[in-house]
This record gives sequence, C-alpha cells and structure tokens, in this order.
Amino acid sequence: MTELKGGWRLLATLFALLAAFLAGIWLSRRFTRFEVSGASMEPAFRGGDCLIVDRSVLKARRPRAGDVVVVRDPELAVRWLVKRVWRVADDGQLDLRGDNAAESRDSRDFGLVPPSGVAGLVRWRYWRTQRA
Amino acid sequence: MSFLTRLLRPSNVAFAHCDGPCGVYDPASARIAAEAVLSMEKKIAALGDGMDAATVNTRTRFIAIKESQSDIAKNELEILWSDYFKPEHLEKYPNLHDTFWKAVKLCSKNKTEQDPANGEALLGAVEEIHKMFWGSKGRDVAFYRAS
Repeated sequence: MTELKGGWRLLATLFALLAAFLAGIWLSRRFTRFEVSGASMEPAFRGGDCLIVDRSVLKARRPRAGDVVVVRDPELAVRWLVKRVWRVADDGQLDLRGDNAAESRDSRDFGLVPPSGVAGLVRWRYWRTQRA
Repeated sequence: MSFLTRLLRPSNVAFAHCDGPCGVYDPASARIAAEAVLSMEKKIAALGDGMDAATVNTRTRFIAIKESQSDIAKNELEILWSDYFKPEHLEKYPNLHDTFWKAVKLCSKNKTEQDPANGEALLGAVEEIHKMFWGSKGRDVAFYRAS
C-alpha cells in the first residue's frame, strides 16, 4: 500500500471527519431517546428503562400489531406514552395496549389513536437500573 | 449521578402509566368522607330532639355536612369504580361490581337517613374496597380509621 503524501493525507482526513459528522447528523435525526416511567409495559419495559426510538421507520412502513411505539397522550398532549400496538383498525387507526393490562391506561380508555400521533418505534433498550 | 449516566439519560420521558392525567388513586379519600358521615350521624343522635333555635341550627349544620360528605364519598367511590378498576381486576374480584354498587347505594342511604348503623355499614364497604384496591396492586396496606 502506498503512503498518501502531503495534501492527499490531509484531504482524506478531512473527508473522514466530514463523513463522521454527516453520519452523526443522520443518526441524531433518525433516533431519539426516551426514559420509561410507570409499570404499564412490564415486564418488557419498566420504569427507569432508557430506550432508543426510531423516528423514521414508520414513515417507510405502517405500524403493525406487536410494535412498541411512543405516541402523544390523547388525553394530555404535552406528554408521551409508550404502548404496544395491539391491533390496527381497518381505517389505519391504532388500538394501543399496555403489556401489563391490569395497570395500563390505553385504548380501552381513550379509544383508537391516529398513526399521526406516533413519534416513533421503540428499537432498543440500552439502559435498565436494577430494582432495589 | 456521574457525568456518564447524566449524558446517557434521555431528556424525554415516555409514560407507561396506569392512570389518567393526575394518576393518584387511593380509597383513603372515600374513607375520610365516610368517617365524616358516621361522625355526623353520631352527633345528630347525641344532640337529642330539642327544638330551640340553637339546637335546630346545630342539627341543620350536622345534616348539611352529613349530606355533602355522603355525596363526596359516593363520588370518590365512583371514580375508583369507573376509572381505576379494569376488566382484568374483575377476574380476580368477581364481586367487584356488586361491592361498589352496594357501597354507592349506602352513600345515598346515609344521605337521606340519619342512623349511625348506615355509616358503619358504609365504612365496612369502604374497607372491602380498600382490600380489593391494594390487593390489585399486590400490596398489603392496613385499613385504619381516624376515629
């Protein structure tokens, strides 16, 4: 392998930095992080868990049953809920449920939720604090 | 908290809550109202049947408080019944609806009558609901009375 000389080496370094910078922008636009509060998604997710949420994927495909999504709370628009898509109605609206049905306020209470209220799809849990 | 955990901690919170916007349910508020009802019934009984202006005034006050606290107890029970309890709880407590139905009817009975026995019966119903409520959360919370 021939060694890059002078200006070429500088150019390659700058190019790599630019690529990393653009990748960073792309990642931060596509993914966001949420912390879970409450017990309605136990045992999959519990209070204190930190999640990576994909904001782009549901623009490419529709939500489907089994997806865990972050949605705007239909009853209090300033906050977000994390729930599982239990069923997609014929008109595309989402029937959301908490995994822990006995301790969940969800579509059984506030009805179907339009897909426009969905912020993104939960992709990974990257943090969990051990229970005391 | 270390710098790293602070950095990793998201600034957004997604709620996985069981509750409505305020999120606080506790049968204690129904119990306190029921205790006030019973207390007024005892005071009405102790006041006797004097018809002088002062006694009539005091009796009227006791009755007004008894009726308003009966309404509060009924409202608090209905919130638990309709908002907190879910079909899943009904599987564990098949007599849930019957218990609540009888309890809210007792509130009406306490409102229209003045017998302390009704107040005792209402407190008994609240205690049953207390047991179902904390049982549904898997917690063992002792029922106590202020008086």
